[in-house]
This record gives sequence, C-alpha cells and structure tokens, in this order.
Amino acid sequence: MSSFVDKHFIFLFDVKGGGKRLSYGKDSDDAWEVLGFRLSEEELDQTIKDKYTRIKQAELRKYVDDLR
Amino acid sequence: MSVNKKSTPNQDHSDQLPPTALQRQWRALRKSVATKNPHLWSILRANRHFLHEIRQDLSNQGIGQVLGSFGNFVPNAAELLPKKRSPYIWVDLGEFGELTSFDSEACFQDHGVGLLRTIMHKEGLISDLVSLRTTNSWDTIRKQLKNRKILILNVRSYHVEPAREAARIFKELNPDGVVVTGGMHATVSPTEMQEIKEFDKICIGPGENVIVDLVSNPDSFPRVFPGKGAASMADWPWIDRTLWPKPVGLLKYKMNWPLEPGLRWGPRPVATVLTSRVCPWQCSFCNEMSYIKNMGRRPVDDVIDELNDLDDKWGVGSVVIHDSMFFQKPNWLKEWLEKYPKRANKTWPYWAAARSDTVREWPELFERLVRETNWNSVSIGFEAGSDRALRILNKQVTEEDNAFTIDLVNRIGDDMEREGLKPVSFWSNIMLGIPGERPEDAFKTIRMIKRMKRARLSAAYYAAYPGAALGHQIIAEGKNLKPGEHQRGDGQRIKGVDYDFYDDLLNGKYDQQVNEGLDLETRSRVVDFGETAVYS
Repeated sequence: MSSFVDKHFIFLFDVKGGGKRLSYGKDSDDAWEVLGFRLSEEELDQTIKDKYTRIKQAELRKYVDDLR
Repeated sequence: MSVNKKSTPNQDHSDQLPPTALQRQWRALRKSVATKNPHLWSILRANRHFLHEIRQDLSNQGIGQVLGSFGNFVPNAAELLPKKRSPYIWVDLGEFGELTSFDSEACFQDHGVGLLRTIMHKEGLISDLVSLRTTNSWDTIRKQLKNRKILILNVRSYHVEPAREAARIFKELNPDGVVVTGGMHATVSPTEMQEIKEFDKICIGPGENVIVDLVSNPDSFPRVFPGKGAASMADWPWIDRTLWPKPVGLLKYKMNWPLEPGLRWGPRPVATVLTSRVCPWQCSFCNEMSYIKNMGRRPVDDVIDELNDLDDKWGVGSVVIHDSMFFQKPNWLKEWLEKYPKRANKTWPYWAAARSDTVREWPELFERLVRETNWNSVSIGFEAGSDRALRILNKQVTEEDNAFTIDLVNRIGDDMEREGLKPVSFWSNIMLGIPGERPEDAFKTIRMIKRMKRARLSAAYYAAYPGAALGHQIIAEGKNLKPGEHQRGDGQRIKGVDYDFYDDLLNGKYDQQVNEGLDLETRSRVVDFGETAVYS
C-alpha cells in the first residue's frame, strides 16, 4: 500500500512474561500480519495480539528498552 | 547466470565476441602481474585510470577545466608556511587511505564536519583537522594529536571503532584534554557512546547551535546533553569547503578539492549539497525521523546561489543533492523547476533521491524535473520487488508503484536517447536477506531489477542498525549475528536468514525461476551488483 493511501503507525504488542514486540502498519491487524511474516509460530504465540500500544515514529526511542 | 559482479551499467552483453589469442595473452599477463606484485599492479592501475580520466574530462569539459584541476597538485603559499598549532583538533573519521588511493570510491566529504568547523571559524575558534583517510597509520594521527586541548569527533555508527581509538590516543598524549563527541551514533545509540570512557562530552542531537559554547567552555556542560539545532536550513552558513581534508597523491586530481569526485553519476568536479533534511517516511530499516527533528528546507535561491558561487571559484561539473529524500514537497520542487534552469550558471546534471510512490503520485512533475532540470541520475530505494517484503520493510510502496516508476524512467530514457541526449538512469538501492523474505520474494526482486533498462545497483544484505524500528526489534530478539558492529558490508548479519540460498541465487542456480514469464529482452538483461556488500 502506497504512503498516499494509508497512514502507518508503529504498534507495540505485549509479550507474555513482559516487554513489547514492535511491528507497523495501517492498523493493528495489518501490523500483526507483518509480524507473522517474520516470526516463528512459537515466537508469535508469545505475543499477545489484542494487547498493544500505538505510537508515532517520533516516539520510538522512548520504547527501545522495552523491546523483547 | 546474468548476475554480474563487475561495476558497469546494466546492459546486454549477449553480442560480445570471444577473446582473440592476443587478448587472452594480455589478460594472462595482467593477472600474473596482479598476483605476483600487487604493489606494482596498484601503481600501474592508478596511473592508467588517471590518464583515462584525464582523457574523459578533456572530452567532457575541455582543456580549461582540466588545466584548472592540475592546480591542485601545487600547494599554495599558505600551505607552505609553518602553522600555529590550534588547541582544537578534529579527526576526520573513515577508513585509512580512502583519500590517498586514486581508485577509491569512498571519497565523499563529511558535511557535518564541514558545517561545524565553518561555524567555529566564523566565531574565531580556528581548529585543525587530521584525517584518517589521508594517511595509513595511527602514528601519523598520533603526531597531530599532541599538545591539544580539545579533540572533536563526529561519530557515525560505522566509525565507532576509529573514534574510540582516536580518543584513546588523544587522552594518552593529553591527559587533561577533553574529548568532545556528537554525530548520528550519539543520537541513535547513546548507551554505546557512554560506555566509551574516553568520551568526555556526548552531544545527543544536532550540534550547530551548541558547538561554539561547547568548545569555548566544555566544563559548563554535563557529560551527556541534548544538542541544539537550527530551526531551518536557511540558518546554516555555506560550508567553507577548504576546511575539508585535502586528498594526497594522484587523487588530488580526481578530487578537484575542495569539490569532490563523486561516483561518476555526472562529470567531475562534483558539488555535493543538501536542500532538505530528514525523510518523513517510516521505512523500518531507517526511521530517520525518529532521531532527527524535521527542519525547514533551504530556499531554492540559496541552493542555486551556493552552486553558482562554487562554480565561480572552482568550476562545477555536476551536482549531487545528498538529501535523504529530494522528491518531496511539490511546491519547493516546482520552484526548483522554474528557477534552476534559469538562474544557475549552467543546468548541471544532478543525482537526487525519490520514492516510487511519489513518482507515481506526481509523474508529470517528475518527468519535467528529469527533462528540464537535468535530473540525470534518479536514486530510488526500491529495496525489494514483492509486496510481502516491502511490507516487512514498511516501505509503503507496492510492486505496482515500482513497476510504474521503472517503466516511466525507461520510457523517458528511450526518448532522450532518440533525441541524442544522455538518457536518465537509476541509482537503485536493493536489499536482500530481509528477515521473513521467502525465495519467491527474492526472485521478484531480481525480476524487478531486470525490468530496469539503465541502472546502477547498490545492493546489500539487510543489517539491523540501532535507530531503525526493525533494527531495534531484531537486536532485542537476539537475532543480530554481529552485535555492536555497524560496518556496512559485513556479509551475514541476521540469525535465521538462509544466506546459502542467496549465494545460490546470485550464482545463477535459480535462473529458471527468476526468468519465468519475462520476455526475451528482459530475461537477457545483465543484473550487475557491482562491488557491493552482498559479495563481501
């Protein structure tokens, strides 16, 4: 999807046991699908699809230490 | 297969004849000299390329320009006089010898160093500079670092190691001296910077509005502090390019210092300029806007005035617009379209960057810029040829956007060729080994490259860098195979990526799959990765 069609955001999905896992897309479903392109089933199972925070690119540095 | 490792433009070699006996003997002799006496070989090569380039410059620019360039061999009077040693010294970071070898490609100057030194000098803080790139050993650097008060380093991620060594030597020679650092690595990875004990001051963010106070009174700053940038690029002074390191040897000719040699995107000497700062898009391997604040673009007139000034002083051959994203903000581009051909001393050909979706959004403006302003080298980060891989990279472009842009540039290039003009071509960034990329995605990338009639490729395996969204996430997952190493071109980087597959792909094992559905002309087109990171 072109940048002229949809605005994209960064999504931080909660990880079981603590921390966040980052992905991006026009909405959380889109970001979840992109995450699935890259992670193994086991890794995806550790990530909680319905618990996420949506952030802007400019805020990214605030969350780096939370990533797992 | 049609993947070529040599650095030549994308072209069809299918009509080449087999070598004659004399050509075979000549190649054997060259190979023998290169193997048995590499030093002699490098001298012969440099001299041959030197003469070849003089011939090219004579035909492109005429005798006046070539004679002018020879002035670089003669030191001016000021250079011969003994100089008073400044308490402030910059170390220009990079690879040893980059500004000594005539065949070196990595010859671009550092705009950050140039800008900050210019600001210091305007305020009367005269500094010296020693460059790693004009020497081949730390001994030479060591001599220059003695008896100084302040060492200043602009640290990029891929220069962390030489920065650390320069700081270590400086502190050994000047125990009371202060090491002042800043630059992109300080901004994207402040923790790594703080772990280097020799770095006394670390400026996070832009330094142009802080450098004078910092150098004048370093004790008034904490160890780590936020930088202060200008609100607009219009507030920046023009860089005094004579403050850049001067190359040595035959390279002086090629560099046309204080202008630059470029990468043969256009005739030398090359004037590199910035018209804008920060790409606002969100590609997950970059995310520049998460660590650099947006700032006002330079006025069109100011850019043209500076180019004319450089031309008056040194004679510009072509221009490189080093913006992360030139083709944005249509109103600015329309003003550039109107004024550059009229006001510039000459409509110099230039290299500048676009995105395939912006080209598709504003195709008429793009075509007019290519034709009327001599935008002859269009840099596009295509990166990947499949929607799936493009989504992993958060490129926010589609396969269709890429195809549209390639077909448009092919068509304009064909027209220009018919009109007897030098056709527009791509400088095309390509990424392989993207985490989560499947073989069929990589096949699509090679197919996309074959669609380009005229392109030079800059290809690399994906690498996880701090600062980028995907880079941070991959590092957090423990999948970065070379943590803390930020050198480009280090080959295999990411756990889980099947690099053997890519070796096979580049060696032609999957030609049949790649060529599926392509017409004969596209299929036979050579894919030329040059000497890029995928082979290192």
